[in-house]
Amino acid sequence: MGFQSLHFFVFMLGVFVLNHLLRSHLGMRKNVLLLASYYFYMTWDVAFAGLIALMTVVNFMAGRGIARSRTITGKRLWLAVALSVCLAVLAYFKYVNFFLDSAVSLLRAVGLFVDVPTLQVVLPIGISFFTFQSLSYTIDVYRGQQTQCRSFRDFALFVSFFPTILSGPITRSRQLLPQFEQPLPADDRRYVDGLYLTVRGFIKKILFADILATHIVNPAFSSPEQLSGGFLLLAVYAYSFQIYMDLSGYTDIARGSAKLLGFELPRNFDYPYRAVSVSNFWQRWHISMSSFFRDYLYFGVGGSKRGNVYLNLLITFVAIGLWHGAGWNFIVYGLVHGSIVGFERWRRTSRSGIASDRTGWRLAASVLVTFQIVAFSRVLFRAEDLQSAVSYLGHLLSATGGVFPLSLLAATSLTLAVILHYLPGRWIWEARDHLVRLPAVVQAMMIGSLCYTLVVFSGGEAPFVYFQF
Amino acid sequence: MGDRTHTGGSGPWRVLRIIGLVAALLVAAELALQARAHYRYGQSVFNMVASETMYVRDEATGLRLLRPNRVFGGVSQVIASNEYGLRSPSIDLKRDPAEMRIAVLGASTVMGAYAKTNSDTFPALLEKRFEESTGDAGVRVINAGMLGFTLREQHVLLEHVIAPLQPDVLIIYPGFNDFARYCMEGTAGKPSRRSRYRLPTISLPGWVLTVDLLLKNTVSIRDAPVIVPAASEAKRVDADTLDLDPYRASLLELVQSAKSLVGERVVLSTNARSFSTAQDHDTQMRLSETARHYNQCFDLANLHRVYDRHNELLSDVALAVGVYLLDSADRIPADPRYFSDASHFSAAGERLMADLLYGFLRENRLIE
Repeated sequence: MGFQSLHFFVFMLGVFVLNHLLRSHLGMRKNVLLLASYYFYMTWDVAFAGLIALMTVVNFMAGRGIARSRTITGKRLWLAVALSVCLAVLAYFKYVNFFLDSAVSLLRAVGLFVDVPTLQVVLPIGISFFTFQSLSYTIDVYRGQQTQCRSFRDFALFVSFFPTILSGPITRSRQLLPQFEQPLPADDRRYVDGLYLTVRGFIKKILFADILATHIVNPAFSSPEQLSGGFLLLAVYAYSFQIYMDLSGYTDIARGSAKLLGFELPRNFDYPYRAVSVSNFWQRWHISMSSFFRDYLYFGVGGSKRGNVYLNLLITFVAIGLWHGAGWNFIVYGLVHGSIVGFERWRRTSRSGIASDRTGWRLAASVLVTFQIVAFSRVLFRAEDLQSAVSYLGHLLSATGGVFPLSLLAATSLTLAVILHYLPGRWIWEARDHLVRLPAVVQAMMIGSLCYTLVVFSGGEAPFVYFQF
Repeated sequence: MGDRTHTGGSGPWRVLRIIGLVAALLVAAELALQARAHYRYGQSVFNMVASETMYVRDEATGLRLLRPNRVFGGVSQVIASNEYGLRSPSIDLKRDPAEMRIAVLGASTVMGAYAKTNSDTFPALLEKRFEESTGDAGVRVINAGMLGFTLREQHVLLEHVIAPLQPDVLIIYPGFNDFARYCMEGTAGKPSRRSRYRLPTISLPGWVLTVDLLLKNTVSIRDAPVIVPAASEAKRVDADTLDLDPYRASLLELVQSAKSLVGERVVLSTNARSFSTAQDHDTQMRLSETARHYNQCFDLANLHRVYDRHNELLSDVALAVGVYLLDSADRIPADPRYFSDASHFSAAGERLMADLLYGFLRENRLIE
């Protein structure tokens, strides 16, 4: 059941009404949400709901084991069990073919020929998200940052919570678990904000992400040899806005749905293309994911306190790259970003003045340079593999002919996406405040028109980009 | 597009009221479309409510045919059905020895998707041509075309409904409904979404007009411009890799069954279409809109290949089985004057097809 389907609308409406009617029966409310969450996932895949159950049991047991262990060895043992099971499952489903292929290539390089069949592994949707969300609880309990969750039902709901299960935001247990006991108050603004966020998410997805994908990005990456260098360059920038609108649109719908049910999920984006450096970009882009890697991997391998900080950064960014997909292009993507963040750190410590102090044209230049780095490195992200990425960049630089098939629709969508991103936030807030104060009939007419627009532009259901991760 | 906590509003009931109003607006728009459809074609969800739908499942054959002996009419189109549930005049099982019977088997193109009345369909016009030329009503033409029919359904219709009417000549204009399976099956070699087992979900019922109308009339908005494919990698299908064996097998069964009924007096026609590679790209895109709507996994180049490969196969089968081939795809110009959409005839197209058939039947002495 995709967010853009009639079924999700009916499902969400049912859950919303039940959740509201049961607001004074906390236990029943949680039962309904847990059942709804598993049902939601099983409309995508019945079999892999068992995987969520496995992650739930393992991490719940590990959390309890860690809390009850009196020795550090015992705690470590429980943590190791949870890490091993969860990462082994993730590695099998997501990386087994990549590792096998890479091993075979390596052996061939040294003259050993082996024939390993490719396994037909179907990737469970959302696996990267629910694995990390459940693991974060165990690590937090181990570090003493989270008390043991005593209710298996609450923990199961935390892992499977339907707004976040497919593509995040990756929510920490300390953010979500307490809300199951004490949901947000049923005040007026919560509902209006929830509806506004949901509608905004659909607009981002349909009017920006899908149009940019269909009209610029997909054609450019499918047939770069037929297109002009200018169009390929435009597609590089368009992809940055496509992926931002796609994931932040999904996040808005997830946050809006959760808010309508009484739960606050963390923000995932903070105008990422206004970043003044690549380090700053990662503080603004997919925040729940980047902060997960910062807290659990970067700090875990030593951060800036132990070992070589530059190596620690590289390890973290390569892991971020690999999290997105099993391929050398993702590893190189991580290496590029890790190196630049390392360079920026070295520059900050060896020179005075930091980018965020800049104003005027220097600030604009920093934003522009950072955007170029982010946009061009994303060629690695969008291309099928490393070779395709290199080939795309080759066409971009060497194209002498080719066509520039930019439609008015795509040009309008891209221009609006850019303008909205760089408009002062205050203007957008004010516009939003005006919108939510309009009479209900006018709001209903606007949402109704959006439903038609959804049908026209999506032509069915285009999946969210991050579903593949 | 940042966010900030809103400071005004009026609670869950406001949200429910807005959602209720949205639902009411969408339902009202759908009802308006249904009323329009009823006015223009005499067919809408109101027929369903009154248990008077245009199509019914025939218990004997399992086929979805017209409700027998009815007239479904609106200002744009009138469809009258005979006792067999066909868009054809009444026909006696007992035939006059002096009478010649021609049955035209097919799908919506034969039925006359855009023909205003029964007498504007090409089978009816063909009968009229014979009447005009001979001065008597000695040739009866049965319209055995039915909306949405695949080759398999045409075969069932032939054996159970047409055969007892003892036609002398059978014309088969197969149509395009068999193509639908190619896009449903997805790309060969890639695990499809259907390989996962999932719980069933609610979807819109088939009679809802809003979505279908919106999608049909906005195909060009979703098109990626010019030469590059619009469909995503996962959705795109290469027409040259399609397995046409199931189509060939169904076609062979149908043609052989027709041959066993009327001997060699079987005419197999290729499928004509309004768009061709001789036209400029924009014209092709405009004319092929409905075809691309129903076959979303093909870009324009592959759509041409799908049509051409099937027409080649039709020619091969006609030759192999030893029946007449009418190359309508070649003889009806790819010209919007003759088509109302990608493949259905306009009034001029219906007339041209009738003339073409008349000439062909005369030329080959299939009707003396």
